[in-house]
Formats: sequence, structure tokens, C-alpha cells
Amino acid sequence: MQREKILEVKNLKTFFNTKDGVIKAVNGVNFDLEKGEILGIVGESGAGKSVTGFSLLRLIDPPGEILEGSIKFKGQDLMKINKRNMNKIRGKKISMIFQDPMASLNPVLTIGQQLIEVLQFHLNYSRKKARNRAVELLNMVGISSPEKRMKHYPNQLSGGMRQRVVVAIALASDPEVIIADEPTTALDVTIQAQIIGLMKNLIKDRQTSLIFITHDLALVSEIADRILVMYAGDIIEYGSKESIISNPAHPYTQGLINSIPVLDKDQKRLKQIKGLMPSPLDLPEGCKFRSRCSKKTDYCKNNDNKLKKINNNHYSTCSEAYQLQKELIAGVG
Amino acid sequence: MKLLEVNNLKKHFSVNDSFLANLLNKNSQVHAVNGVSFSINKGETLSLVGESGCGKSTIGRTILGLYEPTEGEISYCGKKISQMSKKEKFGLKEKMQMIFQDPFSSLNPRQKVKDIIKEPIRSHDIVSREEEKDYILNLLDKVGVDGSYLNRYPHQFSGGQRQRIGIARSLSMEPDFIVADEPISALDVSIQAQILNLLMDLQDEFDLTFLFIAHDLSVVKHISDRVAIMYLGKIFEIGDKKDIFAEPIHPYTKALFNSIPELTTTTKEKFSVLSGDVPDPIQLPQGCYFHSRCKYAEEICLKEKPELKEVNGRKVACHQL
Ligand SMILES: Nc1ncnc2c1ncn2[C@@H]1O[C@H](COP(=O)(O)OP(=O)(O)O)[C@@H](O)[C@H]1O
Ligand SMILES: Nc1ncnc2c1ncn2[C@@H]1O[C@H](COP(=O)(O)OP(=O)(O)O)[C@@H](O)[C@H]1O
Ligand code: SF4
Ligand SMILES: [Mg+2]
Ligand SMILES: [Mg+2]
Repeated sequence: MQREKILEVKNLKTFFNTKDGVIKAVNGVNFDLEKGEILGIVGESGAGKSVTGFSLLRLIDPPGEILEGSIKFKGQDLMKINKRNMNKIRGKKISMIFQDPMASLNPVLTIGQQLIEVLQFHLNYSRKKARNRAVELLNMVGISSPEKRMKHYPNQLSGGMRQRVVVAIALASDPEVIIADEPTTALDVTIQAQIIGLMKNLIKDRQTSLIFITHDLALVSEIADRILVMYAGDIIEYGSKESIISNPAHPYTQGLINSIPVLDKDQKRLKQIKGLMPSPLDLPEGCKFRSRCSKKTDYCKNNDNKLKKINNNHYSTCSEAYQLQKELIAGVG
Repeated sequence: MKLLEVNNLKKHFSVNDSFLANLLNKNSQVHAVNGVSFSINKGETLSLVGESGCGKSTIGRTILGLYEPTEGEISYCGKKISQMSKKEKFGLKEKMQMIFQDPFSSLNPRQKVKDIIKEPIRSHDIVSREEEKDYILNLLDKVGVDGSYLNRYPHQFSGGQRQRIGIARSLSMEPDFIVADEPISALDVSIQAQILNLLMDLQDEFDLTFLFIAHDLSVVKHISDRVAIMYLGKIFEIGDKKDIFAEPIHPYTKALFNSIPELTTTTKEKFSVLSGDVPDPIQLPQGCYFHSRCKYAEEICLKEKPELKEVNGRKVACHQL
């Protein structure tokens, strides 16, 4: 059964006009987000993950610009609505969690004041109702003595506790979508496990959809339903988690999976991907991974970088993978 | 042969003039390292593992003489460093080197690559002026940096390349022992594999001994011979990598291992294996430092500090074994 599509992103293009030239951060990406699903966006730094996340909320400031594309939120194109309506959606229907909790918290307001403010602004709660709900929310994200913590300032909390407060604020308005950009990257693994477990449970209960942005493929494989791999501003592979992890189609994804040391396997040398991601100021024609790819053929420099279907749950831009798949199907037929 | 020996090392920092100290209104101490002992054999890699703030870097820096130990002894080649002459200590500076997490902050932004490497070579008189250029080119070649980049500045390189330059500088004095403090944590996965492979190749070629500091367990498993798991400035478990990874024994080691994300096709259902946070190193808890988060804690754990004792071929500090 098809689940309801909460977000449908078509041909989203975000560039930055800098003095060194045009940075093509996001090059026309297409994807959708279903109700209640966790969609993981992975890729190395500079791949365009954060810019994609910010673009969804139209949080791109000059010199950046969303050049093209539509972002349909429950059928309504966010690119076409006015600023005021966008402000109503942002933080209420779609909320965001960042890597650094201090980017979302105000250092001079207490935790309680910040939660109450969100509840009053987005849900028109009375002060008293907001206060009670704030305590409930803190309790829900596993903060002990929430009454006491309400009076604390962000700098009186540990990094893990701050991020839990940010999760509480993100959930306060009961959003339909949460975009979490590396929410646990700055935290230790045991605290990361706490926060991930917490987020997962909370959104499952409410059927909230989550876009989880990270550089950590292992982490994303533990929580995502579907995965989207970005490289140099493109989505190069997209599909169900099972299919991508067990059968990566794009040589870059294959390389990423092979370069992670595996705990229960002994290897003397790690497989490495040679070279670097190309500069977004100077992207090559055709497949952008070409210079690092061990499987390239003559065809790759003409690759249109469009996602090609491998099966119903799996797409990749790699022409080689696509060719191979076609031959396999032809062989079977 | 034991190359390095650390005996009951303690390092406390005073925070008299900090905001926190004023708040608490007393002469506070950050108890960064609280009695740590281990040794490393020549050619071996020992990894220190543990979450941020558990004292890993402080141990590394104290070994390299960047901090004075508060208590305890460090010996190199069987000789106590505290009893070495000035000249011996200067010589030791060549033998013991450091590779940092952030290659950018450890390289002078105003120096060209050749000068970055030249500086230690000259101050320790490693090669003659005539041989210098060839020596530097050879080093760059070993770490995989193109010799034509001699006149470039650090900002003109990627993070991985900068780390290679940092490694070349550390190698320039022909060290025996290297403290690598999270050398790949700041790099992308595909680049991490490149640098890990490089470090292991260099270890083989130059018979290097590593103290490897990290929090990523899969990386630690890959590179180490032995592993020490730390918490609040104490070693909780230390032993052969194979033994510990086959069966972590200390309750904290177990929790830590369970928290590490692993590549999988099935969605993980149960997260959060540990509740709460690490206690404040300014006010160390009584008894076992882990008792506030340990599900096995009993009366004795709140009162007495467990010492390291032999269990299944490794050493573990826990009362419940
Ligand atoms: N405000 C900005 N000005 C100029 N370039 C930017 C800005 N924000 C992001 N970029 C560029 O856009 C590209 C994608 O960045 P980002 O989405 O942050 O990558 P990721 O999150 O995948 O690490 C990078 O090359 C980055 O340098
Ligand atoms: N120079 C210093 N002065 C005061 N406190 C310090 C100093 N260096 C480290 N610390 C404190 O000592 C503890 C251990 O730090 P560190 O050795 O850097 O841990 P790790 O490397 O395991 O993350 C931390 O609580 C840290 O804040
Ligand atoms: S000594 Fe007690 S509190 Fe400490 S780890 Fe062992 S069981 Fe847990
Ligand atoms: Mg980012
Ligand atoms: Mg450190």
C-alpha cells in the first residue's frame, strides 16, 4: 500500500553566487517523503545535504538562491506561498534540529521560557497550559527533575541534555515533518544512542516523518526506511535501505560501504576511494564521480546524472549499474 | 620489549579562576587522569578509547611532556623521564611525536609546506642543508603528497592532504613513538580509510610504536594490537584487541560497544543502553566512577573503587566479576 506523501521535491536547485564563481550546491534533486517514514540523507561534507535541508524550509540567504524547483508539502507548493505563511509552517508543521544545539537555543532565556514561547506562538496556548505542557515535554525527552530544569539556562546543561531540549522544542508544536541535520554528530556514542532511541520512539508514536541528515552511513542504516546518497550536489542513489545497503548500485556508495571498517570482520587494509569530491565551483560534465571511479567507461562522461530505475525501490545515476541491470534483465527474459 | 611504561599517572588541572570555581566558591580541580597504568611494546599499537573528556588527550600530552604529571611516573626505554637530563629530554623530543586531530590548527597557516617540515629538521639537526630538500621530498612522497606542492600553504589543501602533511612533519625527526590523537576524526569516511592505510603502512616501514587515541571503535579495532577503555580518567578494561572485541566484559565497555552504529539492513529497535551522563570530573564520585549509570551496581560499588584485575586474559576493574 502506498503511504501518503508528505513532501514531494522536484528539480530543486540551490546555487551560491560567490566572488570565486557559482557554487552549485544542489543540482536539481528529486525525492519524496512519506508519512511516518525516516528518510536518511548521507554523503560526505560539502555534498549538499545541509543546503538541501535548508532549502526545504526556504532558509537560504544571499548569496544563495533557490533557482528552480517545487517543494510540495501535502500538495501545497512551498515555493509559491508568501513569507508570512511560510513562517507559520516553519517550526510548526516542519521543524528542524541542528548539529549544534546552541544554534537553536537562546543562551539568555531559560529552557522553560523557550519551550513556553514556542507553545504560545505556534499553538496559542495560555501561559499556564504552555507551562504544564513544557514540563511534560521535558519529561518525555528524558530530562530528570523537569520542574527544576525549566529554570536553567542552556549553559547549565550538558551537550546531550541540550540536544534533548532541542528535540523537545522541535516536537512541541507536534510537527508533521522534522528535518534533523547531523543532530548527534557532536555527541558521544552512548549519548547519541540515547537521543536516536528517543527521537525514534517519539516520532513513531505520532507518525511524524523524519529527514535524517548525516555523514554516518552506519548510523543511518540503523534507523532509516529509505536512504538517499548525495554526491557533489546530486542524489546519486536513492531507495529502500535494505536494497541500498545489501546491493549498492553506485560505485561511490559501494566505495563508502567498503571503506568503513567492519567490527566483526578482520581486514588488513581498508578499501579506499582514491581522490576527492570535485569542487562545486568546477563540476565536471557527465558523471561527477568519474575521476575517482574504477568502473568508468566511455559512456560515463555523457551521463545525464538522472536517477535510473534499478527496481521499484531502488534508483541510481550510474550508467554502468543501469546498463548491467538491463543486460541482466534481458538475459533473464 | 617495553618501549613506554606509564605508572599510576594522575593529572589534575586547577580551575581556581574559572567561572565554575567562583560559582562553587572553592579551589576546584578537574580530575582529568586518575591513576592510569599501562605499557606499550615496541612496534605495537595501543588504543585509548572512551568518550570525550575521559582524559585520553591529557594522557597523550603528559607522555609527550606537554604537561607535568600531578603524580606517577612515565618511563621510556626503561628509564624514568623525570630522572633524565636536559640533553636526554631534548633527544626524547625527536623520538616521541604527535599527530593531531585537526591538521589545520596544528599547521602554521603562514608557513609553506616546505618550511613546516624544515623547521623541526633544522632545530634538531636531522640532516645537512644539502640533503634537506631531498629529505623533505622523500617524506612527502612517503605520505602521498605531490612534491610539486612544496611552496603551497596549508589552506590550499584538503583536510586529508593536510593530515598527510602533519604526518610528514611528525616523521621528519625519525621518531620511534607516535601519539596519534584522533588523527582521522575530522575527516570524511572515504578519506579516513586513506589515512588509516597510510598510518599502518608507515608503521610497518619504520617500525613505529603508536598510542592511538580514538572514540570510533571500528577504527580502533582495525588499527590496534591492544585496547584500553577509559572512563573519567580511569582504565576500566585493558587487553588484547581480539579478546576485548570478541567479548567485552566491563559493564561500561559492553554499553559502549552496544552504542556503536553498525552497517545493517535491518532497522535497530532498541537504542539507549545507558541512561544519564558522565559525572563531573571536578567532583569525582565515591566508589566505582561508573556506578551512577551501571545496572549491576550494588552496595560495594558505591563505596569502594574497583582495581584492575585479571579476567579472561585481560584486566578489568569491576566489583561484580
Ligand atoms: N552560505 C554559503 N555560501 C557559499 N557556499 C555555501 C554556503 N552554504 C553552503 N555552501 C556550499 O554548498 C556546498 C554544499 O554544502 P552543504 O550542503 O553544507 O554540504 P553538507 O551538508 O553535505 O556537508 C558546499 O560546497 C558549501 O561550501
Ligand atoms: N588544560 C586544561 N585545563 C583544564 N582542564 C583541562 C585541560 N585539558 C583538559 N582538561 C579537562 O580534563 C578532562 C579530560 O580532558 P581530555 O584529556 O581532553 O579528554 P579526551 O581527550 O578524552 O576528550 C576534561 O574534563 C577536560 O575539560
Ligand atoms: S564496579 Fe559496580 S558499578 Fe562499577 S561497573 Fe562494576 S558493577 Fe558497575
Ligand atoms: Mg552539513
Ligand atoms: Mg581528546
